Amino acid sequence: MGQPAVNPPREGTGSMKRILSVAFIVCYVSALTYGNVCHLLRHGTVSHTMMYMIVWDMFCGWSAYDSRVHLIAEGESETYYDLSHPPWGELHAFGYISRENYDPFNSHTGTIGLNVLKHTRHEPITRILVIEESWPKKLNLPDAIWNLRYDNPKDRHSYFRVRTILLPDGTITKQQDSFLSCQARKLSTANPRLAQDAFSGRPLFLNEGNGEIGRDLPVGPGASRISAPSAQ
Amino acid sequence: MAATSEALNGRSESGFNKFFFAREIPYGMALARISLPLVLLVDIVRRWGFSREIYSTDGAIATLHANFGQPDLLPELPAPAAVGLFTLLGALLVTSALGWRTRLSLFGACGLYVYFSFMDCLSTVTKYTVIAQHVLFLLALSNCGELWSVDAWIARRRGIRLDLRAPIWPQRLVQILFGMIYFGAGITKMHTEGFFTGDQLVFWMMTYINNEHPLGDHLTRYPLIVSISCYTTFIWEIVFIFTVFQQRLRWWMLAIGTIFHIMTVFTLGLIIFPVVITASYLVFLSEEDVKKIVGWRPFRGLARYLVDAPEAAGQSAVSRPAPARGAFGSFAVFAMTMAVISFAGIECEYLLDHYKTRGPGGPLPLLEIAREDVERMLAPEQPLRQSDKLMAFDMGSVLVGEHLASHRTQYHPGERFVAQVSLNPPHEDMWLECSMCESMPGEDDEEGRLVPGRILYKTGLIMLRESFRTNFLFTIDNGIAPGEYFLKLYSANEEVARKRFTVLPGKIRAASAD
Repeated sequence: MGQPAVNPPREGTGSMKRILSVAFIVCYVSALTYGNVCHLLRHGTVSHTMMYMIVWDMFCGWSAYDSRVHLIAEGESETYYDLSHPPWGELHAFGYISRENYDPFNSHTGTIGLNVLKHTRHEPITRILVIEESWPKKLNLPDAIWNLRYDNPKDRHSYFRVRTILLPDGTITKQQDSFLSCQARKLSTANPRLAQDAFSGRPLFLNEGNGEIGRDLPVGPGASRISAPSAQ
Repeated sequence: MAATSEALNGRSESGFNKFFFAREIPYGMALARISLPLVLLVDIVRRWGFSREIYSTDGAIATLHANFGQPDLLPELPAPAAVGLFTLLGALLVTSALGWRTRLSLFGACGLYVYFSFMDCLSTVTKYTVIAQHVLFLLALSNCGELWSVDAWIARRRGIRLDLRAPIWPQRLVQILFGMIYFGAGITKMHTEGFFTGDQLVFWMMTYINNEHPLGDHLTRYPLIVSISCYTTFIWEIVFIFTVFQQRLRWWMLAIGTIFHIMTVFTLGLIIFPVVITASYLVFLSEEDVKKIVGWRPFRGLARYLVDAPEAAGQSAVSRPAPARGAFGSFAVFAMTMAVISFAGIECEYLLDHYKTRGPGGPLPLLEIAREDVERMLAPEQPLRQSDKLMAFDMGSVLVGEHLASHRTQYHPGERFVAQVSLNPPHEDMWLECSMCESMPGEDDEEGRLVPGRILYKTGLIMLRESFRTNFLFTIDNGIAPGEYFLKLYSANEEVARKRFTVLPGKIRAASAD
């Protein structure tokens, strides 16, 4: 009675537990090492979703231009509606901008717009536009810091670029690359010799499925479709 | 038996045994178990009201696995199930911190957190959530729940003496995880063009997608300091895994790491990330460390919370009557509680009516946009303005590497100075001109500032598309009177920046460009 009860030792489980522990240690450290080796060699880092769990690419580079995404819907009356700020409020997950701004590949933004349409009252919608607004990041600096470094006044100017146009059923009718990709592409076309070589070397027949960057994708059988919010 | 095995297997296995299978009271793991779930709970609570919208088929799911080309990897749940499970995730994080059914809570929290992270690549999954998931998983494998927990309290009431000392391999794996993370982060930095010059980090400091970062704003003026910090960070990240297990260097490495992560709050506006990492750093505390810390004067009051020896647990265990089996500590009670919380969450979320579709005015009308705003957005695309291609136009006298060590606007005769041009990539091959002008006395602009007048000297150079910055070198020599002057920068015959500077009195007068 004076001695408290102690968890009884489990005979025969000790060595098995140890073997399993060692096996787990080896597997876990191997998985972490594999992730780092793939990352170092830049091979297979996107081969499976689970690679995201073991590849530590936490600094992927930052561009010189900041951008925000605007989601707008055009009604039959040619009235435009704001889908970026839904009437029930928006989640600012990591700071003070909403989630469509964290979609660099523009893969899910259309779905967000369609979801806002699905849960709001509105006239019939003819199309949804995903528009990217960009500006040089130096213009983000607070005025006090700006005045310490720059003698010129801050002259804010934004560049707008339509990234995607969707029909209300989710069909993509137009898709373009980002502002930054477009600027990088213009560098090559600014070289007349290179542009001439590229033009003369272009194949006669279009390769179906490889839309030219920056040009409209075809509407019809080749048009891709994004996932529309499904009914619950 | 263990000693014999050790002797037979030689020194190397002895080292392995000591490293992974030494038996310690897991104070560090217990502290991490208490603090990390509470930090993560901040994120969960903030997203709970939006769980229908971001995690269910009644919203706009943005799965991570779709980005990896595996859209069907995980099932997409209807709203009640998603909300119920997300509520359960929050509840499990609370029970993990409390240590109630700790192992089950941690495994459950880890699994659900992974699921919800994968379901939302836009506003949930980040590298800190992945790190947290690893740590939760390894905490679940440890016996961290047998200390400072409801489980320990229940065991004491039942008169069960827990064996608190256990092999430390889960703790070691968390420590190795951090070493690997930093090593991987170092590899990323090696791969990132423009990282070591500090330019990438400066652009990050100018990015406002996180929170306010006042120190970062100021540091953008000093890329040399940023560059030195980049090298320091890289070296620290690479050597971390090789030094953090050495007794002499361990505290230094952890102290630098803590300062580094705290600084990201002020320089980059990160908040949850550094708190998650700092909470996880508690796993680096060994039993001996905790005893030492509690021996320090400010922490002596905490000594009574240490379970130093089995006797302490035993004494407390026998002093209380053991309750009937199947009460608070049973699995059934735990499962029932979790089920009730989940269903309550589903009901609350339904009553809150996230989309406001069932209210008197519901569904809510869409917000209209002003026509002029739309016309601005849909106007034909414009070419980049020359001034927008410029990142900065700075003056100074000392170059370290490619950076100006100081920004000066006053020069003595005979001094050389540098006018440095930094451009925003990408940019085409550009012809840049730099003119030195005298000021126009008595002709101020609208804001009362001096304006440039006659051009005294003009020079130019080609800046190739792969270049980020270039320098114009000037020497003050004969011909220039003391006073106010300007440097004006032109691109495509358009003035893109100007800089005012002062020539102080001296013997030599005039300026020439090298």
